[in-house]
Amino acid sequence: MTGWRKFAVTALGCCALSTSAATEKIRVAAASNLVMVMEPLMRAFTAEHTQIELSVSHAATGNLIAQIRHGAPFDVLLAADLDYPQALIESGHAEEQTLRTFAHGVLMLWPQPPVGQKWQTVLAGPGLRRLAVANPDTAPYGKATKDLLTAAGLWDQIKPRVVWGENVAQTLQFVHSGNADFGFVAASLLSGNHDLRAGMIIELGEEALPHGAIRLGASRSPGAAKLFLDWLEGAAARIILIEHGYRVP
Amino acid sequence: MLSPIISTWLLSAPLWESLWLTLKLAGITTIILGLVGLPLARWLNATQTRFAPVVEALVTLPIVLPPTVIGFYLLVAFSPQHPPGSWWVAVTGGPLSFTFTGLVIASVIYSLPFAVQPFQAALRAVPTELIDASRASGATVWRTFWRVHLPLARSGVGAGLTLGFAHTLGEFGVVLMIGGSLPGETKVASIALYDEVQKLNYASAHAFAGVLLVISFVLLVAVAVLQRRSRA
Repeated sequence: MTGWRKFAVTALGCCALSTSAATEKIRVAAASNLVMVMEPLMRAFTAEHTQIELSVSHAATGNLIAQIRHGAPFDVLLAADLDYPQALIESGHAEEQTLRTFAHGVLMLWPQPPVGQKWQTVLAGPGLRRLAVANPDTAPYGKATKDLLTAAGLWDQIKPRVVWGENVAQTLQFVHSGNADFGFVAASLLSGNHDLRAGMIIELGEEALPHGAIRLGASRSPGAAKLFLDWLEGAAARIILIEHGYRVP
Repeated sequence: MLSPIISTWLLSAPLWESLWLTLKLAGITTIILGLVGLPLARWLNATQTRFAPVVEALVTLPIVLPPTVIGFYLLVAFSPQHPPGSWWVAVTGGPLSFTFTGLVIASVIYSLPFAVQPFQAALRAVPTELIDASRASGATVWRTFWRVHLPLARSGVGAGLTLGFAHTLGEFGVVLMIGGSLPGETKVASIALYDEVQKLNYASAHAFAGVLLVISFVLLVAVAVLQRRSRA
């Protein structure tokens, strides 16, 4: 009985604390590849700004856009490219002047090809049965992969052996479960997973895979949302992003 | 193949292709559901074994389980790195994941209860005197089943087959997890529609969704007609 009472008192105390401390609430819609980094970002932000409560929803960005256009109550969108935020600006659901690039994604071939072999040779070789790539029409990492393989002159040759992940997280899962030999994934997905074998970073240049952040027109806490967007470009957020396999502008 | 006459009327050619692929998948799945499901339903109705409830629960599981659970298990099972996926590769030379054959296997598992339960109800509704009369006239168990029992239950069996077909059309989660979205091979209608929404092509998503809605509605009307007839 005392155990229960203690629990009840603690629980009530926590509720009272959180309602008194958090005066504003912001909801973040975030692309699938950010799934590993959002947790530490949110922890760091709310430690600094105890009056703000953050919640995050992950989905493929195209789905998030559809939801936002139909009244989903998000304050901020963190996308894996700049095209999706642009689409929201054009439909009048996001504020153009708040758009910024907060990170650049890093493309990775996983697992690492055998030592001493070029990835181009391995992927073009007869040993490759399945290569997992995210859908280039909807997933920015998939588009970057397609551009890379096209530039390398390998696309037409490899395409019959490609299987398409719905997003970059599923692309990793196809390889991890043994159903594909190699996959082009986001370095951020591998950052927190120590049991995963190493991957190979594919250099695409400093400006590749920009991740856009924008405030949405429907935001009910525009001040707090702006604060979060500005914080994302600060030192604390940049360190967390780098630790999780991103590059920062 | 229908491909040569695939038009661009109403929908783009890739969408017609995915619709045709879906109908092919549902058709083949339905044939297998009939071949596997009818003997299974008959056995479940007749058997006295105490394991019958266990088998019945296994068959019914896909109604309850999230498609993601089935998809996840199949993804692991199809992996060519270990059995049973490696056995399949050893026998056929190719893996099951990301193939049409893999989707057929998944669809049969996924739609089995939707066919077997109407089958069981339809077979149970046939008066036992008629079955006994056939057996007494010297017909074997299987001849009785195929020539007497099944024809008398045909409306209910038709309802089960149609429901199995319709349910396969609606498959999404399982295919998303094991299909790999290969045009003409595993990119079925539900996945193609999902991609259109992702690409923000709402106009073509609307047209495609409308086509799927009409097909599904017509199939369900057929199920209702067949079920009424089997009750009459």
